[in-house]
Amino acid sequence: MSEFLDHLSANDNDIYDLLISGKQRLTESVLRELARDRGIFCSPEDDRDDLADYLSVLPHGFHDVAAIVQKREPGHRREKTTFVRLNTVMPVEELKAAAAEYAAAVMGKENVVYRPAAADGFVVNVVYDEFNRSRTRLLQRDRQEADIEFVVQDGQTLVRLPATDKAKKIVAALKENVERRRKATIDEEGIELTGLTTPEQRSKFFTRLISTLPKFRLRNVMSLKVSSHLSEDGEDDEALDLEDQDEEEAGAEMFAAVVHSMHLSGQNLVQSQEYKDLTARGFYITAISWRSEAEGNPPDIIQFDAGFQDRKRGTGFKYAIQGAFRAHKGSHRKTIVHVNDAEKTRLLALLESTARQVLTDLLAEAKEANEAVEGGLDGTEV
Amino acid sequence: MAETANTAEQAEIMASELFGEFFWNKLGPVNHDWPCEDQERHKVKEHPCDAVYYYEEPYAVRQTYVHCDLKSYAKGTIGPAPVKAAIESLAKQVACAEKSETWRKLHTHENVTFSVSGLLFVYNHDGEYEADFQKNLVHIAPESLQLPRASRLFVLGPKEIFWLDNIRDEIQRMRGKKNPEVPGHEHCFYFHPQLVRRANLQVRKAKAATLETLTSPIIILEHHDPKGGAQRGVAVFYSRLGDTTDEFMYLIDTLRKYELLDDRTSVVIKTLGASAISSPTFQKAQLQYIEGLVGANVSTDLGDYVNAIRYEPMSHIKTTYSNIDLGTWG
Repeated sequence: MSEFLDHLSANDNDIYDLLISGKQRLTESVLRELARDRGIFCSPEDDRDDLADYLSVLPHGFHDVAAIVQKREPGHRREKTTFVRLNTVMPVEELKAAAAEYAAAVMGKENVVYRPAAADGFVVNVVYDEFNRSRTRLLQRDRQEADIEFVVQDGQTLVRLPATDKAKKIVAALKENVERRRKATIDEEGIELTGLTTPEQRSKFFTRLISTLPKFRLRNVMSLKVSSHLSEDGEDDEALDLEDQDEEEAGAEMFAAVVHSMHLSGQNLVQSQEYKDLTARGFYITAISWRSEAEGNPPDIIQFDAGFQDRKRGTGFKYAIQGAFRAHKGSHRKTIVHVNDAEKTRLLALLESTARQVLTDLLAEAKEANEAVEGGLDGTEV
Repeated sequence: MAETANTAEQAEIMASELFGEFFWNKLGPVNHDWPCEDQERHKVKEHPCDAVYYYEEPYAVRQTYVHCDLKSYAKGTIGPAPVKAAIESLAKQVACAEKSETWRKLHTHENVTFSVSGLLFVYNHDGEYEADFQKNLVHIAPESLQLPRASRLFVLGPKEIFWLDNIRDEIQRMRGKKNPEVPGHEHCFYFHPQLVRRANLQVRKAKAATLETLTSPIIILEHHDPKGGAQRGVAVFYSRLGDTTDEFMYLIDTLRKYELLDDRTSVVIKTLGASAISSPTFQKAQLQYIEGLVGANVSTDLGDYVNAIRYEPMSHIKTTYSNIDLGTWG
């Protein structure tokens, strides 16, 4: 079947599937509202199935279907961010040429907008359609957007992008375009825990990240994901988390309790017996969500997220700013609000630099430890 | 209480004019009261009736009888309360109509399976329609209406009546041309597609635009050659703004699925008050659709049919469709 035609319009059966399968959001009363928006009132004695059946045979235009899809899946999930560092400065002119080349290559399929940003930065915005075959046919086409930022920092270029495969491919293509023009390869550096091999070292990356964030004081750990050497390989998947083995869930809960109590009692986490036990059983943290209070003014509480796409290997570092609890009259507001773009950029940059520093330190410590062990072994042999 | 005879007569003229073009037929007396069948629950002795129209259903072998409440008001004089009261009362009327021997004798054919729908018809008689009439419906909980199972109640507000009346006007204009673009009534019918989950059982018989069609964004008039030729034409009345290629590609693809894009069919799409960029947007959608099928610069039959679709925003806009006053609220 032509993919083009497959997602262009909906027949009555598509609409029926869409309505009937979205039980959670497309409730009976939402279906009644859809009818009412057309000026149609249905009998209160008609049930959800009757309503879905009736609505699906009405003529629908593009906007009607879009409205149903919107009601079924309001907004996109808050996307996580990731970054790579390129070991060279990329001038705006060079990026512009690379972006133009990319735009020409994907013309008709993707919509590419690029422009210079503040402080020698550069922004590429790509709008594209993503197809997800596992969903109801009408929801398969999902319009996505990737905002990719290039920031020049200390003689390097930091590229900040959504933590999606597509965004990574776009960045790889842009980098390739620059490399082709330069006839030279550009080294790339990201946050990867592949060099940290023990559960203890892996967990330490997170505990140190949340406790050493400059100008922030850790307030609370909200949630944790853990993995163990026993768990299966594979990419992290939000949905799969629910099916995690019981033992992992239990591990996550215990870990959270330990991390939480460490903060409250001021104990050193790594010294606690519970932590040692869990680590000995092979558990380590793979994602964390926490709140920290700003030490400056205003003392807002920010909720952060950090984790790895491939939990087991510790690759594909992704992170997000969930929002802020604003300081208000000596306390904090109860509801979380979005942070604005400038604030978000500042916080993301802080996370990036801290994560980088923590990883550098841990790798150095791991190396030292290895050398010590090896030295010790040598010693015994002698 | 029944509306005054004079008002009823005027209402009848107005409704006849509009619904006649959509092939609805009137049956029985207009503007009369009839006994309530459920006086305890409805708390009235009689129900009013302004007019009853009927048409054949395409997707079922039955007739739909449309029990109408015709209202008129001047701009700025209507609020949510009277609209709510009218709808609640109309729901009761529909419930009683199905049960009432009197109503059935006056307004239905014998030996015919039928269902009753309610229609609240609201326009403002000073000619300036209010676009946000629909907001009056937001506060009405559909669950609270005393409508029997599978019965429906429709509301055509000033904006919808304005749109439908312009379709009527446009069809009559097309028919009245020196070289008529649309033939006489006997060669015209409103198009009801064959669906995946429903069959159009009465293609010839069910020629009227149903209430479901009239309240939808796409109304299609199909007409055949009066001389008996194989050629046919379709006029697609599309009520949206037409400012995105997505919506036009959707519309074009829908016409393909309806099997209206072929050698013997000429297609014209008509809009009213569309976006200033709707014409170039439509052209862009045609190109994108053809390119999407097989790529650019490849000629195909389907591509030719898509290319042949004409897009004509209605330029002759009828702003006041009647200066007569219908029954007022009360």
